[in-house]
Formats: sequence, structure tokens, C-alpha cells
Amino acid sequence: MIPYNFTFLSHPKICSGLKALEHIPFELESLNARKPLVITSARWAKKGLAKTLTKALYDSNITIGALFTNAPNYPSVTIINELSKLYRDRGCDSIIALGSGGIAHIAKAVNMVVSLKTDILQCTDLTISSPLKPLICVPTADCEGGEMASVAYYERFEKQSDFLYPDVIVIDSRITRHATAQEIANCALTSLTHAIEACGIVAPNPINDAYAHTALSFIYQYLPKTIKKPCYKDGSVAIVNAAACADTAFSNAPQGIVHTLAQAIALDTNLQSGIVMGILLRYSLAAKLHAKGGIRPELLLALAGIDTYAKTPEKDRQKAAYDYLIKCIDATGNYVPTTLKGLHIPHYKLKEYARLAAAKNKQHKENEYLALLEKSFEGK
Amino acid sequence: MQLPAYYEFCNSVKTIVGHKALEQIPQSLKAINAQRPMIITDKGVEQAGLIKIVQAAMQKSKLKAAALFDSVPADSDVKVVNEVAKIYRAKKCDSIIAVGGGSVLDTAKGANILVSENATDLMQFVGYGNVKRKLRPFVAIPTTAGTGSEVTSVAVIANHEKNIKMAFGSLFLLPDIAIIDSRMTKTLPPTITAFTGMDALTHAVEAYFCLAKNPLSDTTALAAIQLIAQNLVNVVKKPSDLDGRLALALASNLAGMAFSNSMVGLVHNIGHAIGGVCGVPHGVCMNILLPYGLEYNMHKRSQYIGELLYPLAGEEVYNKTPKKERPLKTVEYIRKLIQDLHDATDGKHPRFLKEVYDRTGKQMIPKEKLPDIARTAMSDPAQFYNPEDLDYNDYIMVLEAAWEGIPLDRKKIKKG
Amino acid sequence: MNALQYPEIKPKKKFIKRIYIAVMLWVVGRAIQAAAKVDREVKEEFAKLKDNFLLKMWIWPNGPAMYVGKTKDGKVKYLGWKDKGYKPTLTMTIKSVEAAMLLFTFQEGTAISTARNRLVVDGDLPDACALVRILNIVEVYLLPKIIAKLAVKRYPKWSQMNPLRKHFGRILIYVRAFTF
Repeated sequence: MIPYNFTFLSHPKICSGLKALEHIPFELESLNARKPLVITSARWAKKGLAKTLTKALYDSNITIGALFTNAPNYPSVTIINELSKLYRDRGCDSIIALGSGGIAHIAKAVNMVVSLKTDILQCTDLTISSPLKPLICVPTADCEGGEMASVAYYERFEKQSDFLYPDVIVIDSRITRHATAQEIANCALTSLTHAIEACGIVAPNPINDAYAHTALSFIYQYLPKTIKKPCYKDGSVAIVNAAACADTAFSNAPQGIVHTLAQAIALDTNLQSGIVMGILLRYSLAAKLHAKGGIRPELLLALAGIDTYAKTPEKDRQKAAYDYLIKCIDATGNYVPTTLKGLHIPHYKLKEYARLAAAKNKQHKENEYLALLEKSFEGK
Repeated sequence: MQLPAYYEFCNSVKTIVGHKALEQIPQSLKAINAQRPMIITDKGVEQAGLIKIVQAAMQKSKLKAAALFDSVPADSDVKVVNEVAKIYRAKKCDSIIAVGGGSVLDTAKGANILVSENATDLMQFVGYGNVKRKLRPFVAIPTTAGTGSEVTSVAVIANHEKNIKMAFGSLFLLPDIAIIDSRMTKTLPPTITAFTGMDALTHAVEAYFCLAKNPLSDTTALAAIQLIAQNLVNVVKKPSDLDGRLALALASNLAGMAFSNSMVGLVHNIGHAIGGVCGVPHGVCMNILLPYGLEYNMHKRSQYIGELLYPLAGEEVYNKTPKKERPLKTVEYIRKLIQDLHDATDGKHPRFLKEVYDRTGKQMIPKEKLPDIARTAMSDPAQFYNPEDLDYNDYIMVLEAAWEGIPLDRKKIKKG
Repeated sequence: MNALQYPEIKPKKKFIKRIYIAVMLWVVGRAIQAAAKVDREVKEEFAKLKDNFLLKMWIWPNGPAMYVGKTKDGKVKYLGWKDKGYKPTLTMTIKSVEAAMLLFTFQEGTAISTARNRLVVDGDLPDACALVRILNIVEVYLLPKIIAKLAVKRYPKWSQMNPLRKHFGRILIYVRAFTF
């Protein structure tokens, strides 16, 4: 056995379930905040989510400093600066990000600007060493991965810091049940990839495994039904819970091969990275199953529960875990092709992606990346 | 895995685990802007030479403690807290490193409130949610693999003059960093290893079946139980097993995470009362009462209790036992674990309440005290989170069985 | 960006829910007072509490609230909903109006509400344990079995209780709670 040697941090408090939104005033107050800036997109405002959140703050001492309903999906410097100004002009003391994807990352970037009192481009090089202003994430089910992790993406930058975790994650079905099936698929596949790659590392980390296993269990249990019916309340809450746990696992493990490649492809093609991950994951798992070391049999325990795990003979567990995982990926079948070719990615681009990935994440060699891409291209 | 209708989970402590985790103190402190730490500990820890190890590890990166306070009493006291705060200010410290068990950590948490809020009186922060700001950097280094108080957000500090206990609860009381290093528990004697291990097991088991259980408390609890079941008896038999030590310390941390979010029940409820009335160490009570806590709640939580058989006994036993018999088998297995520990410590590890002796060989829990204990237990809030209700007669029934060491007669448990 | 498009929003109040909760708090307060006179167990529990016992039950952060305390001659009294400079020894805080609605429409019992961190008890903790027992008894008296079963952990077997206590107790508590 390799001795334990790891560091783990999961900063956010999770409040999930029935009437979770109504806990926001109390959570803000315990963070010594009274006047949040709420950031959301026109789409969610139109669906009435901004109204729902506003109502949840009734009967409290919380005044919404500004309800910004026009956040774009791309966290550009312009929008970050504008929102930082709005935050300061209104005398806000905290931020609520209502929505996932770009909204959450804009909120994180704004938080850096207003807390560190500097320009966003300078934040990128700063080391943060004290907590930022209180940030509450109220995710919708279209998570793209990273919203609830210790990382912020803005423009073309990626900033990592322990202090970039949100303080509170509020998961409420009134917010989560509005995403489309396509978005749920993207969210689930991203979480699945992050969770698997976090437990796939060699050095044991039981705390991180506990988070990853929670994510896997929820995805297996709830994904098929939620894909069919995205407004299924419990299902959408469970999927977002899985995303929150997977984000923690992702923050505490080195980035994996599938994640790195998918990011490289998504940046170039503007495809959703979760969809690309879904395709790559399938072949990465197949390769792992036959390689030395294989898939960790504990994944079966997380996916299928104690009874099934105990009943499966030891030698069959890896294969069974693999089958369960493929079942999860297949559940998204209507929305995700099985090969990269199906995404209309030209073959000549693969080499470039492999090179980009190798430059970004040096844990794997360029030919490893390329081998996975080649397999995923035709589905061999 | 069940998705609860509503749950909350928070564990914002950065946990550093390893045989050389202490060496990471300087860089971790630097990352949160601290350079002048004050070490807080008690005489026992100091005499065991643990502070020297911590200081040596820090010295490797040229970090020196700005102050050292080593006389925290076994029962945290507000006077000591004030004294610590005074030294902290005088020596211009900017952070705290607490090395020790529950009392040291509580004292350090109290002192941290005072110095961070620039206050002189703790009274204004008493209660739930009255600490509302990030406190100064705070590192916790547990020296027993049991309490899990390095990941709990509460502190209890006594005011012996006014004869009151002040309870504080706020997520800001959570340490910034917890360091789990095998060198800190290496010298624990087998008897203490045994009951602190059972303390951690109780945290995890109660977290798994009590009312506020949630998905993350479940997975952390199961991991903790598995680590304890695999390592506890071995380490008690072979104290120098450092990997086993580290596994137990990690298990205690995982169990702490689980129970500080899902709370505890009957076992802690009665355990607190026995500690209060007879002065028996917490872990000893936990160890004896655990099987009874399971038996008492079995009619309501049989599924969860049955599932515990897997991490405790492993898959072979789990597979062989039909589903219906698993809950009882779990209890049987825990009783066997207690017996194993009893054997491994040459009978020093008590199995029943009547077997608890102090250093002079005097019985610590005379049977006449049971009514007293039951009455005290009725005033302990841990009962809120127990799945089944308890009245005075129920407490007496459990206590009498645990005193004699006979299983609970489950037919006699009142089911509403 | 036109900042005027994104105005400041002050919190409004949910009047109907607040009225319902205020009424329920009044009923609970009056019923505790009545039960303390009628039921032997409640009487005993109160006798054990400190002389300056004063309970505040309220909805965070702006009420409604309810006060119950011991008078100088040791009687239990409902003290109304207004804060007259009381110093509560025990505070039961319900975190939001919605949490209070769940509690007072009996969708969540006190135990579940505490476990879900919606109901926070602060102050003298031994008193809190006694109070939870008192509330359980009061609920059993006030509510029909089918509802009370959801609200308490263990519904008492009336067979263990004197039938006289059950029916008379229930009637007396109702009468005393709703008359002045």
C-alpha cells in the first residue's frame, strides 16, 4: 500500500433541497453580508428564476444591491469591469451568482476585482492569501464544470486559488429544473469525467474519493430519468449535487487526460466540453480496462451500491464498473455522438489538439493524447 | 444513495495528511499570510515530546513559534482563554497552532475569537452563529485519533466561577488547516489507542444512522468505518505500525467530518452524561454504549445499520448474511471488536460499564449512580438527533443493560 | 451599461404567511400555559426548570415572536408577542418564514426541523431538552393522532395513559388555551 500523503480542501457549504433558497438570508447574515449583487442571465430572468430568488429574500434584512439580468455566457473583461463598477457604486458587500457556466465565472472574477481592489488582468498574476468577499452560488443544471471548484475562467485565463471556491452552494429544484436535456447531458458527463479522473490517480486520497463516489452514485442513479425529463425535480437536484461534489474532487486532483483534451478541443471548436468528454471518456475507460492497473474496482461500489458490489466476484469488478460507467454515458445517447467524427471534427486537427494538451498538462505525453484521440475519432 | 429532502454539509478545513505532514506547516501558513504563530498545547502533549517534533519540522523552513503556551487544563476554562489571548497580543502573534485534544482546541478557538474580534469578553459571542467574521489563521494538530474536533465548528468553554458552560457554534470556528501526521499519535499507549479508535468509530456509525445523515456524511462515515475496522486491532497489538497509525488518524478526521455535519445520537447522549456524573473518559463510554445505541434504534434504522456490516466485516461476511440478519450481525460484530480490543490490551479495555476502573482500581460507575446518569442524560441535547425518542425509563433500561453487559431486550423498546 | 435597468430591491413581506404563523405561535404559547396547569408531566418538567426561565420562539430576523416564562410565584405564563425588554434564557430561532410554514403546517416535526438546521436552539441547553419534551406533549394533546404522529418521534401509547388524562386533558387544554 502507498502511504497517505495528500492535501484536501473543500471550502463551500452545501445547502441542498426543499426551500434551500430561503436559507440564503441566514447564510449571508452569518457571513456578515447584507447587500448582495445578484448576477444572472437574460434567459434565467425570463424563466422567472430572478423573481423566485427575490421572493426567497422577502422577510429578511437583505437588500439586493442590484439585480443584473444580462450576464453573457462569455466572461469578458468588459462585463467584469462593468459589474465591478456596479458593485462598488451600489455599496454591495457580497455576490450571488444565479446560474452556472459563464455566470459563475463572471461572479468569481468580479469578486477578485472588488476584493483585491485591482484590475482583473492584474489579478491573474496575484497570489490570493486572504478570503474574498462572500460569494453564494445558486447553480442551474447547465453546469459546465468548475463553477463550484477552486478555479475561475475568464477571457482566455484560468486562475486557480483556494479562495476561489464559493462560500455557499445553494441547490434548489425551483432553480435546477429549467435546463434542457442537452445541458443536463453536458453537466453529467463533465461531472462523471471529473469524478473518475479524480479517483483514478495512483496516490490514495480517501477524502477526495468520498466526494467523487457521491458524485458517481448520484449520476448513475438519476441521470437516465433526468435526461428523459429534465424538469424532474429530485433528478435535477441530484445532478447538480453530483456536479458540486465532482468540482471538489476535480479541485483536489491533478487534471486528467480526458479533461485536458476536451478543454483543448472545446476552446478551438466552441463545442460543449462535457459532450467531448463523454466521447473521450468512453475510449479512455476502455483503454484503461485493458491496461496495467485497470479501473479501480471501488468505482463499482460507488455506482452500484454495497449489495451489488459485494455480490460481484472480485475478478469481475473492474469489468462491471466499466459496464456501469458505459451505461451512464449511453444514457446521454440522444445528445452525444459516440465518436469525434460525429462531432464533425476534422481528422487533421487531432495532432494540433494533442500538442495543445501536452503543452498544458505535462503529466501525459503527446503521443498518449494522440492515441486517445485517434481511438475516439472512428470509435475503434 | 438517498438524496435527502434537505441537507447541509460543510467542511472547509484544509486537511494535510501524511507521515511528513508537519513539514508543510510553514508553507501553508505563508499561503494565508501568517508568520508569527503561537503554539497552544497541554502539559501531557509537551511531556510526550510532540511539541519538539512540531518545532523541528517548522525549523526546517526557518519558521519559529513566536510564543508557546503549554498549560491548557483538561477542562477548558475562560480564565485560561483570557491568559492565552494576553500572551498572543503581547508577543504580537498572528496565528495559532493548537496541538492536542478537545480541550486544547476549544481553548484555542476561544482565544482566537478574542484576538480576532479584538474583544475582552467571550460572553458576547456565545451561542449559534454569533461569530460572523473570518478569524485569524488557525492550524489544528490532533494528537489523539478519536475526537475529530479538528473539523468541528463548535467550542465549549467553562466559566468555573459562574459555574456555566459557554457553547459557541459558527463555521468560522473551523480551523483553516488540520494536520494529520502519524508522528503525533505514534506514542499513544494501546489502551488509549483502543478507546479513541472506538470514539471515532462511534462518530462514524452514529453519523450514518442519525437524523441529519446526508450523502457526504454517508460516504465519509463509510470510509472511516472501513479504515478503523481494518487497522484498529492491529495497531493496538503493534503500536509502532506507522501506516496503521496514519490510517486511524485519517479515519478519525473522516468521522469528524461526518458527525459534525450529521450530528450524533443516543450513544453520545448517554456518554456525555456518564462523563459528567462519573468523570469517565469520553472514548470509554462511546466504546461501551455503541452496540446499545444501535440496538435501541434498530426498529427505525435497520436498513442503514445493516449496511454498516460491509465496511465493518468485509464482503465475505456481508454476502453470507441474509439481508434480514445484517443489522443484528453488525451489532454482533461491534461487540466482537470490543472483545478483541479487550483481549489485545490484557483486559484493560472495558467492555461494560461495571468494568470501568480508575487508576487506583476503584469502580468508576457504581450501579447506584445509574438514575443520576439517566436524569443528566435527559438534559443533554444530543438526544435531538437520535431517531427514536427516549424517556427516563428508556435511559435506565439502556444503562442497566450496558452496566451488566447484556444485549438489550429489543422487545421491551417502546415503539410509538 | 445602463445601471438604472438593474435597480436595488428592498425585501417585501409575506403578510398572509406571517399572520398564520403569528396565530400558530399564539396557540402554542397559550397551549403551553394551559398544559402546564393541566398535565402532570408538563407541570413536573416546568418545576425542574430554573426560576428565571423565559422562552423566546421567533422567526429570524424580524419576527413574529412569542414569549413564555415563569412568573415569580412559579406559574407558567404566556407573555405575548411583544418584546418588553425580556431576557430569554432559551431562544428557539426559526430561520425563515418558509421554515416556519413547514413546521407549523406539520410537514416537518421539531426533530426534523432541527436536523435540517432550520430550527436553532440557543441558550440553556438542558432547558431546551425539557422544552422539546413539553412541546411534544402539547402537540399530542392539540393535534389529531394522524398529524401528531408526523410531528413527534414516538407517539405515546394512550393505553399507557389514563384515559381520563387523555380526554379531559385534551378538552381542558383546548378550553384554557382559547379562553382568557
